[in-house]
Amino acid sequence: MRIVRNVVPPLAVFVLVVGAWWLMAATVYGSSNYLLPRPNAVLSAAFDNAGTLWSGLRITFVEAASGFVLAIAVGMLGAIVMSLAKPLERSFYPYAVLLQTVPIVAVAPVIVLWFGYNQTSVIVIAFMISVFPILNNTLLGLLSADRNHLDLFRMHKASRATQFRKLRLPGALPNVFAGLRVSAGLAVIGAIVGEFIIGSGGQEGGLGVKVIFAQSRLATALLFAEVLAATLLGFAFFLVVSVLGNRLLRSWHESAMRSDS
Amino acid sequence: MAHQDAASPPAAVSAAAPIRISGVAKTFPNGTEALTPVDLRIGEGEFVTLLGPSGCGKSTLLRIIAGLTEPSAGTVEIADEQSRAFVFQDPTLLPWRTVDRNAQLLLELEGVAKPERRERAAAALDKVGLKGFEKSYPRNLSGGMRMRLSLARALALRPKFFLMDEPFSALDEITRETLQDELLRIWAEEGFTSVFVTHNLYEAVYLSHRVVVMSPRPGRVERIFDIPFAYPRSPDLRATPEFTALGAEIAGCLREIAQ
Repeated sequence: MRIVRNVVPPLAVFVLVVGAWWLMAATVYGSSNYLLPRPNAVLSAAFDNAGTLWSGLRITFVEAASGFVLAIAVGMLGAIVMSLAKPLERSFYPYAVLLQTVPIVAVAPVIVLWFGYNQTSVIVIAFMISVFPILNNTLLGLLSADRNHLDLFRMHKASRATQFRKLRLPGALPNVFAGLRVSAGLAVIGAIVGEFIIGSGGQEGGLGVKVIFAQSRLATALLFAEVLAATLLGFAFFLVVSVLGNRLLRSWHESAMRSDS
Repeated sequence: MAHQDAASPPAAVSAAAPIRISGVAKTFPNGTEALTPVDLRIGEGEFVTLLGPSGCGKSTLLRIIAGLTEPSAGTVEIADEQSRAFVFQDPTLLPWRTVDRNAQLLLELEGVAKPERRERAAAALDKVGLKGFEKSYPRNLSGGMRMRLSLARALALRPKFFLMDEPFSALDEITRETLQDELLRIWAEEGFTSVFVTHNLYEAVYLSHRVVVMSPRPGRVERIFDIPFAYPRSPDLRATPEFTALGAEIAGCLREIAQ
């Protein structure tokens, strides 16, 4: 029953959207296949170029995953440091916000100057785009420990390390995962944007590079397939993080519970 | 009806007075006088309740006794500072820990070794009637059971001083009265000294040797009532004319305060 309830509604939406797409492609755009290819054309383009698609997916995956892991490490560590003392938070938080608001496209030239026309630059961009939600949510979680809990720990002479390990960190986990879920998708977007700006440096490129290439050849069906692959990659990132979060939180946190339990 | 204004405990329980509060006052940084100088002696094994409307400083006084708030003036001498347990109005459980692990929390913080921790937590859970719920999570417990767990967590410390800040005020009437009886039973078994804060006067009368009535603006001790009923007390006590009369007298005192 649960599977039916969870799977049927999104599946119905999927069928509707693909149906509408097919209808549009067939009627409005008629034969101009390069504006809106039919779903079956996209599918066959994906099969015909499976090799290219796969290698692009692999490259983008590595870049996005590296940026994401870097963002987790830096974001969580930064949040922990800032949670230690109010002056630290006041000193560093504004720069974390700046990192979020800086237009990536505008600083890309600087990143290229520093790291070169290569995957490292792409990873840096994926990192920059995905770090803030992790940092911000983790910090929020660490700082929202209950006053009475803190009193209880203080009364029984718990060290700051104990307080962190047994109170702040477990209490912050729901927020941490909220941040991770947002950042998972952002990391993939960051990698694609990075590839757009930086290119492949003459190497075999990721999906972002291939999208530009397909567009220049008016290979719209392939372009659609590549966009779809990138979307699914982001979705996969999100799914992995969600499953992990639910496993960790389901015994106690409302966000991870089945509605009927 | 026996009552007295003197701040000394009844002779029966007072011999050593392990809690001695002398001239304790608290002024908050914003200038609010939460507590003007209070003197109070609490005897070994005594059950004392601080009763009063909000803002009378009863919770502040309890927090000072617990060492959670520093007094602006005066001293609190406690026979064994290490042996204090505090129960909050909110059960303050850790939602990610099972009942069993919640009951062990304070022992963990105090550095008690694991085998002993388990044994003491199990005994405490048994005492409050939570045996069989060890592997549940707090969210699966009712409000009354959560408070039982909060009591068990404190009991596992085997404290000499049990400090409670309106622990039953969020519970429904039936649950509240049941827990009052359980608390009295456990108190009789364990022999700890209790300082209990409430704004419910019948709760105060039912539980205590002495009821310290406090009044606000500025927070101070208004009057101290001796409660003459013998322990063990049973729910029937609540229906006796003596109980009702004493309740009415304290209610009158509280009404005067409110004016």
